[in-house]
Amino acid sequence: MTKNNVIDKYKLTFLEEAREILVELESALLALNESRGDKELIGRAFRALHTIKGSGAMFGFDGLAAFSHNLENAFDEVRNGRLSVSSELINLSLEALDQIKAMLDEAAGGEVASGIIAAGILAKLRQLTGKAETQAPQTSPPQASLPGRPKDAVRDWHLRFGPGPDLMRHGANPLLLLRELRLLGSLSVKASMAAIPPLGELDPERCYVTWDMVLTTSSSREAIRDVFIFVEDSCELTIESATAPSPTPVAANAAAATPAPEAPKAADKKYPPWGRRASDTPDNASSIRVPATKLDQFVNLVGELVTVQARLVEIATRHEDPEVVMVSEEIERLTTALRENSISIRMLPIRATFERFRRLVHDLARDLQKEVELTIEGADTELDKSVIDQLNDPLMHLIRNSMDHGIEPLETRLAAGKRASATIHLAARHSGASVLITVADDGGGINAAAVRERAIEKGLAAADAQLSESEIFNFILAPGFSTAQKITDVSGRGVGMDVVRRSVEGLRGTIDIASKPSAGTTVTLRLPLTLAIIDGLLVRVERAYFVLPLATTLECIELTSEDIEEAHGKHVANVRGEIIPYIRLREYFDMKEKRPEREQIMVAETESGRYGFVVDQVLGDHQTVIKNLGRFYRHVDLVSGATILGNGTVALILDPHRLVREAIRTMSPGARSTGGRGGVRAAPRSQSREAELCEAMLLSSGKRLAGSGEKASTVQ
Amino acid sequence: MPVTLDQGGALCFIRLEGEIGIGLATELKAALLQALGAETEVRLDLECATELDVTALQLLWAAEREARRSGKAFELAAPVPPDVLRAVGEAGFENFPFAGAAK
Repeated sequence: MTKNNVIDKYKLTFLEEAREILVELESALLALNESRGDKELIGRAFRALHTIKGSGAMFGFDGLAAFSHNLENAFDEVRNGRLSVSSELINLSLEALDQIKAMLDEAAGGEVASGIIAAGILAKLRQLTGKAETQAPQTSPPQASLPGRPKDAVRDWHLRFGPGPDLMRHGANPLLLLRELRLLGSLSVKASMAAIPPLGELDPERCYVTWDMVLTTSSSREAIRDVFIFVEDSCELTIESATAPSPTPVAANAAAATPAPEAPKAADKKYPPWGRRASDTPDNASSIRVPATKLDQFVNLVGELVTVQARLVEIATRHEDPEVVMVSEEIERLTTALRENSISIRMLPIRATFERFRRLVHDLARDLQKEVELTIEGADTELDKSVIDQLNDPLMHLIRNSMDHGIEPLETRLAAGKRASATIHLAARHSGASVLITVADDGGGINAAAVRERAIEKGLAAADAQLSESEIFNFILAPGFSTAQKITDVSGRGVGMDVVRRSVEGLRGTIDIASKPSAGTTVTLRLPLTLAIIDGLLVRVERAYFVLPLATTLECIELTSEDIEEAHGKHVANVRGEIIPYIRLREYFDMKEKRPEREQIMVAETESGRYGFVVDQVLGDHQTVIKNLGRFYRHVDLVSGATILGNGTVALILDPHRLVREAIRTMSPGARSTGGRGGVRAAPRSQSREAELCEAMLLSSGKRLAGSGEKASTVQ
Repeated sequence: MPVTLDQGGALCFIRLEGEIGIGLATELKAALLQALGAETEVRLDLECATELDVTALQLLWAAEREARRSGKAFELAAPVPPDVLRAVGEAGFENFPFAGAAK
């Protein structure tokens, strides 16, 4: 790797970290909007801006640094009580934050950020602060850019700065820090070169120089330390107040002789962890930053390993060689541990996604002239990174819907005796192998009658259909469905909820809608913890293999011909007195061979209740590495993926929820028995499609799926 | 080329051009070692340099010290641009371009 690549890598790290800091800045600004006098929040906003400015300048993003510098100055005014926090300032800061984001995107090779917008923001900022725009630290004349510092008396500070061995390799430049320090007041500097080794032994990228400085300034210790905020944990820094004014620079090593009364690293507990780079906090000192693609590769490889291990187990069992069996069992144990480990590495708390919506709620509330508070619960709940990545859009649509349709206009709320300020509650929690994410509002609720009427109008339901409340609410998820009187910028086109449904189903999740008139609506998304590997139960029907998720499976029982006779042709089984309707996969997938004497029912807990799935044989549990079916079979709903078995055969992973839902749906609403549990038959409409797929799968038996990539595999 | 080593004649020239930062540190170190290892006197040409960072400064400082100890001439070939001189002074490096070369 060339040196330039190394520097580029650190620039990329800066861009990533700056984005993280922006998220925190945004949350600080929005919180500040709620409690405007909060000094802690003001400090958070200031330090976030300071870090972006300082590190931006350090990595050569001068425009970004100059822009942030102006905003930072405004917050410095606020910090010193010369400017009060107003809605104007918050909104302007949020606009500025978007502009910084655009600048970061530009730096990362995206669209060019608009200079006009930036100039407009700065002009408004000037109006607000009543001050002339100040320049970026690099170009500003010493001391001129600091209109309002604390009114502390001018005093001398003795500083000793010793960069750590890797400071420069990380892209920091000590000379720029000195230059920034010079902006605070008059600075005399002496570089000590005592530690520079002989040329031959010298590591050319390490900084051996330490600096002793005397800074005469009215700035506080905190303001001085802020200069070093970005490198604080990779350098030795002491800041001492000189008791008497000392006009001459301290001699080299003099500061070392007097012990520092206060070591900044230890003493400085006031900074929230994000105020510095995440990797600088002591808690994270042992953590590393890894590109997501590397992680994906790793999980893919573990997936391959799991597949090969399954083959090894099969071979070992066949050969009955105790030594091979022992090794294979050992490998199985290790593979399981490795699999769990790799999955846990990909787990991230959902906090960042949730927090991002504070801004959306704030902006929408302003646009819609509603007063809405967003409350968040369970933000530390962990989910697979890829699930989190795809959750943003559906959640955004749900929140927009709640804001626009769910929450009533102020007058309506007051007339109904509700609080003027509405609440949207965003929550996450674990439930078995799933995560439940709820978006709840305390708005007017869904008008079930209107939805029903609209569904009949659109031909989604028969006019005389008897529909449960939850079935009615599910119509909302249909494409193009909207009962909104008018289309707003926010929602009402009937696109949003369809997007939600598709995204969630793409994640192998389900949606549940509950609503009470005038009490509000709660939408619950049930999502799998991970998309990569699941614990499944392997079953066989004729020569085809299927996997059902173990998490939904309750028990396996035998289905004898006597049981079938007892049910008089109905697809129901009597399980210890409970009548369980079942779906016979052989019929569902139109398999022609005669069914065996004894079959087995796997009873599963689905969202539509308990259902059985009749198979020829249950083979046992199976660590299932999920392979997508590829684009060609994207329209197949009932199968959530495929996996490769130990003997190289392909098995389809079935989604019991959708299997049951599809079976219920394909029975026309009018024809549906009122009991609702009269057993479910295969639907002719879906039959041909699934049969086609099944055929394809059988043809592919013994072949590996094309490509080993998670996303690239196609059954052909 | 920001760092050039010219060993052709009776003198060995090290010429630095533009910004000399951490990306050139390894190259500069190699050039200095080669120059000090040669039989000839060393001349440092900073006329076209615009910026020297800490890595460059400490290498030049170490090279000058080495040359002084072995009694080898290590001198400036041309005046240092005032901007560079000022920046180096502000960074606290006294006697730049260091004792021997200043003669």
